Order: sequence, then structure tokens, then C-alpha cells
Amino acid sequence: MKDKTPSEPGRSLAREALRRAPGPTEPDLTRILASMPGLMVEARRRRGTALAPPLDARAWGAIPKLAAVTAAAVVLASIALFVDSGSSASDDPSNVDSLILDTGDGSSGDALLDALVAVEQNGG
Amino acid sequence: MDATEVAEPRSSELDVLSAAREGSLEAGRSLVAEYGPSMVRTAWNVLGGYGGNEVDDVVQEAFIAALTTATLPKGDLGAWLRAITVRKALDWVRRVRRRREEPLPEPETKGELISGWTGATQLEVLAVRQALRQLSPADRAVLTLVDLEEHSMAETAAILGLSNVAVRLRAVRARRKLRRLLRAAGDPEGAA
Repeated sequence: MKDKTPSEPGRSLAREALRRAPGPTEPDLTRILASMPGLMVEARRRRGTALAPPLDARAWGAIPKLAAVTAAAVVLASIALFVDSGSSASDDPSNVDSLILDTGDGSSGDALLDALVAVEQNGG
Repeated sequence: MDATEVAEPRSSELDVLSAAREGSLEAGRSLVAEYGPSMVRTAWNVLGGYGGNEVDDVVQEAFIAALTTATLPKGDLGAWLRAITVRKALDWVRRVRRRREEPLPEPETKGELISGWTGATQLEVLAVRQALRQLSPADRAVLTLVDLEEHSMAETAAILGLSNVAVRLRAVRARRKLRRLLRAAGDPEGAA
């Protein structure tokens, strides 16, 4: 359906009505003119808000880097643990526990400690 | 101007708009002086003639929007500004309705008589205004954009965020209702 005929008379009617019944023939622009500095400041503020990426977006962009750093830290910590596991058996807390509880032939490697354990075990 | 022709904005118009966006107060005031009157009348048409403050508020919002957006008008700058004004006027109506949760009050009619006009002309104008006020703001917006500003249905649909069909239906119904109201008021235009 085209914009014009058959509704052209209807369009003319509306157009004439809107032209004949305007607001003030000479609108008072004083208030709008006086507010123009404020309007421009507000426009600048809204443009700035629109241009600045939200904090979430910036943080979101950093996540892959953080993930990479975290992964590297985990790998290094794992390596460090692995290396540490080959150190002296006496550093292993579980050896101390078994030392205290051991009633067999296990030896801590420390003669004095073995002696003390032996005394304990013998109730003396 | 033929409704099918789209006037390119003059480069001087775009320069003024760009200067205003960059902070030139003189350019901003020039925009108000040049386009403010038609924007005020457009806001008045859509709002249905509420008090002056509402119209000023709507026009101020329209200027802020024009200065905020990075896009440049493709056609006439005045038509572009008035289209923004129509949208802001409808936004104002929706905001007020949401806040009030009741129908909008009837706009004030006092103080409309225009000095220097004959009595018959004044009565005619009042009858037309009264008829227009009985349309909804959305109807007035469509008639303003399509019939007064001569935007196409597609352009009007884009401005108002409606479908082409919705705009067309609304325009047809609004014209029909306006004719009926004018006829009832005894306006000779309504009898045509």
C-alpha cells in the first residue's frame, strides 16, 4: 500500500490540522538557550560514559593472562614439591610419626633417638 | 520539496553540529536559535500542549541526544532533530505514565488565545487543538512524522521502533479519528 492515494485527503487533513494548531507561534527559547552550557556538559558526560569500557570488560580481558600466570605457578609449585620429595627422609613428617609409633626394626638413623625410643618401648 | 527527495544536510549545518559536539557554546546556541522553534512545536504537537516546562524539557533532552550521538544526519538536519524530539516526547509520556500509574491529566488550555488573531480563527485553532488532544501521543507522533514531516512509513517505523505495518495502521486510524473529531467540532476541514 502506498503512502499517498487513496488516503491522501486524510494525510492533508492531518497535516493541515497539525500546522494550524501549533504551540506558541513564537516559542520562547530563553530557558533552552540558558541551559545550553549544561546540556553540552551532560552530552559530554554521556559520551564519555559510552566510550569508556566497563570495568568488567577490562577485568575480563585480563583473565587469560591471570590464568596463564596461575598455571605457571601451579607447575612451578608441583616441580618444587617433586624435588623436595627426594630430600632426606628425616624431613618427612610421616617418618617422625612412624618413628614414634614404630616398634620394629625401623631406625631413624639417629642413635640417641633410637635409644630413647627403645627406652619408651620397654617402659623404662 | 518532493517527499521522495531527501535533502542532504548542508555542510555548514553539519559543521555547526560538529562544533557544538566539540564544545562550542556559540554553535550550540546557533542550533537552538535555528531549530529550536520547530522542535518546540513538534514537542508540543506530540505532548498535546502541556505546560511550557514539559516541552522545554523534551527539547533539551533532544538536544542532549543530538550532541551525544556520534552519527550524523543523512537528510535534513532540522528533520533529524525533530525526529529525535518526537522520540523524546514519547519517552517523556511513558515516563510520566509509569510514575503516575494513572492516565495523564488533561493538558491546560488556558492562555492559548493568541493575541492579534480574529475570534473565528482562534475558535478554529482551539477546535483543532482539542481534536488533536483526543488522539493518543503515539497517534500524534505518527501523524507528525508521516503527515507533517513527510517521513516515509519505513523511516517513521525506524524512528519509533515500530514495524511498518504498525505505523501504517496507526496512521490510518489516527487520520480517521481526527476527521471524525473535526467533523463533530464543526470544523470545515473535517467535512472534507
